[in-house]
Amino acid sequence: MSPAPAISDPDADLLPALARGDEAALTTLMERRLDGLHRLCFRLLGDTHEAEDVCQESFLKLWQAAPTWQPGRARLMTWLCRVATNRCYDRLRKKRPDLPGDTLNPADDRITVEARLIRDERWDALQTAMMALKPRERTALALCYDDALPQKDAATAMEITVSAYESLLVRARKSLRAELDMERQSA
Amino acid sequence: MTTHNDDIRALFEGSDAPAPRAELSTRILAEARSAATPPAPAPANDNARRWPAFGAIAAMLVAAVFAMTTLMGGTVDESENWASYADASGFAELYAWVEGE
Repeated sequence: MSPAPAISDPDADLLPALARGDEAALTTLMERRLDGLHRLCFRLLGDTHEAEDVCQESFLKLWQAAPTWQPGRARLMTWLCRVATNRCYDRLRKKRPDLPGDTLNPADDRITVEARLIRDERWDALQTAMMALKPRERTALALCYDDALPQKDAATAMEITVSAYESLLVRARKSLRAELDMERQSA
Repeated sequence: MTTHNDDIRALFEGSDAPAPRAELSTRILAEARSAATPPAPAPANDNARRWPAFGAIAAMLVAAVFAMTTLMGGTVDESENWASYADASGFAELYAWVEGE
């Protein structure tokens, strides 16, 4: 009797077709997961075009990895979140002041008035507060509330233990509340 | 704990992150298609790649021969010069003795 897969994946039905290079399977996977992945990337980067680029890179990486994918090791969405998160971190490290969405700290006095106006058009209060958090805190919150991954999967996506993820989440909630309070006071 | 964090959950549910543009899926599919195209097979007899290698080896040989010739030539000229200086200064015998002749 063969052992049962360690992890049940809601996208497992697409794996054989993806491994064969079936574009229809990729289309179906995007219909299921593209919006969620884009939301995660937007929460981290604050810029929808950059978020789209990261989604594209992540799905392409999955497409290329599909033939050698080992079922049961990780869920497709968890893997996608991990790849996308790492790509977002790479982009955040390369800070580009010409893109308002890239500013790590919206309270930074150096950002121009024009950039601030564009940012305010794109971001609501939550996103503004999110962008003031550390990138890892943002990721923890987005994985928990936007993508609603189980804690184990969110921890896997962040390459940390479940207990480390829980601690990070507690700190992230505290930071978010503090930022939101500051926003309310300054409004 | 869950109740305590309901305010944050409500915030996320009420916050609309923008959706990706409709053409993103098409863009990804097009990229996937080109990524899936297998690379062109290498020709059976890939002489085009070997000749530059031979060229490099030949160039190194020419350079080595040139360097050796120059170096050896320089040595000959130098010893001849020193011998003539020794003759002119009257130390020819001493020079011959030092040089082992």
